[in-house]
Amino acid sequence: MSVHRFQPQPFFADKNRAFWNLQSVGWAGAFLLRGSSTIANGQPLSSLIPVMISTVSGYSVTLLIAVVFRFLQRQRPIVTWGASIVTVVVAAGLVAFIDAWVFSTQNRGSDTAGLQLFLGAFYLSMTLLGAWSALYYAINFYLTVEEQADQLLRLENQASSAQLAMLRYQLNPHFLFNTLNSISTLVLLKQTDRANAMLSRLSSFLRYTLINEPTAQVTIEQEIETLKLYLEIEKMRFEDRLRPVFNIDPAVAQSRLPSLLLQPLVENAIKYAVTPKEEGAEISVTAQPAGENVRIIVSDTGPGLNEGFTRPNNPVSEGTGVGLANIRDRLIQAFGERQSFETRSTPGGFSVLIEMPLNLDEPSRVAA
Amino acid sequence: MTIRTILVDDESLAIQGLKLRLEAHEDVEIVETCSNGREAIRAIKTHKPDLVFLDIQMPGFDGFSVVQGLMEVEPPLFIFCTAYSDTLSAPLRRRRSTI
Repeated sequence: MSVHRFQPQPFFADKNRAFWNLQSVGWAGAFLLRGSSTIANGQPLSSLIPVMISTVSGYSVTLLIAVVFRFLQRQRPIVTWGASIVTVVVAAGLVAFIDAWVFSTQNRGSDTAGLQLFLGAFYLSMTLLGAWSALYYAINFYLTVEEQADQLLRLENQASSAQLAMLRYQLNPHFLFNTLNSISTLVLLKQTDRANAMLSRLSSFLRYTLINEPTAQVTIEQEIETLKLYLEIEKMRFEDRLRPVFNIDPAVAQSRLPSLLLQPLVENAIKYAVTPKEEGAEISVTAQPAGENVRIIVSDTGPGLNEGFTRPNNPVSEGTGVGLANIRDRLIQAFGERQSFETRSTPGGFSVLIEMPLNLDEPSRVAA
Repeated sequence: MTIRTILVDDESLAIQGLKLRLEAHEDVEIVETCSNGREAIRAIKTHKPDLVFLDIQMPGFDGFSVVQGLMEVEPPLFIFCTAYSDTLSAPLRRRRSTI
């Protein structure tokens, strides 16, 4: 014995099957309605025969109409409409003729004139077939609209995942270049322990950046660990000029955020605060609860934004604008309206203030 | 006769790396190393070297400022050092008129 698993499926999932179901149920309904009204009017049971014949001819004729409509649908609108009306009128005439002929054969001696019979039957069949056609086109229209909406949704999904892929953090090649150069020097200096420590930090950091999916979310704790790896590597070059400070409230350490969201902020701080100042700068990363939200602040004690921009010989030709806009976009992608992003620039430093919902849930796997 | 050389870089690891690699050449004599632009100007004025390896990107007084600060004395030969391929071309183009 085979057991059929119940699988809920939209009614129109199989268009062909839905058509046959509707067609059969519809005409059966029409027959029952007309039949019961005939009986209720006190007619003999034999008068059900013309009703049945009329129903069967309606059923068959509408099958033919469906074939014609299927062809007409692909034509220009004016042709579709005009030819459809003509088709319905002709088909109604055919059904009415059959009805009238059956009626007159059954009721020989009736004094109703042939034309009168035909017109009465025509009125009835026209109504039925008209309603059938309207329903046919309405359902088809509905299905087309639905399909287009589905397609639009798919396209939107594609577009937003493409956008996410673009927004994803990309490793700065200069960083890799500088780090490998430094490690090469350490090897030449025969400081193998330091060289090895740097290599393993670099590989951990690379693993983290390379496996990051555009939609991946990590805990603040993980993000901070990555930042520490990065800063340890950069400290090899900048030494005491780079002074990182972390203030992570344990209450928010497990809250989730898009991975490598803060990385570009720290890179910017090194670029614009540590590099241009002889005494270097402090870079502080703070995460704390703020009501329902998590507030993250990345700030530096550098020269601030404007001075950084007008500094002569600024080695970085692209401004911070792109990087910051990128982070804002990623926040919007992840949290919609429920986030905020602010920058503050003073002569004493530059800071970025991000607020996002406290998000302690395990990430729900997004179907690829 | 040796080539008297001064190395200028704000990153000590970079200085060490440069030093190590230059030590292989017997005709290069490193007379001093400097970690910023002001030190570099002073050292160049004192030692009058033949050659200076000069980092462009340094905090405060960068490589170009060092060259400009030495315009009144007879400047040595400079080799600019940078990690950024685009650092050199853009500022050089900008500065051609001023130097």
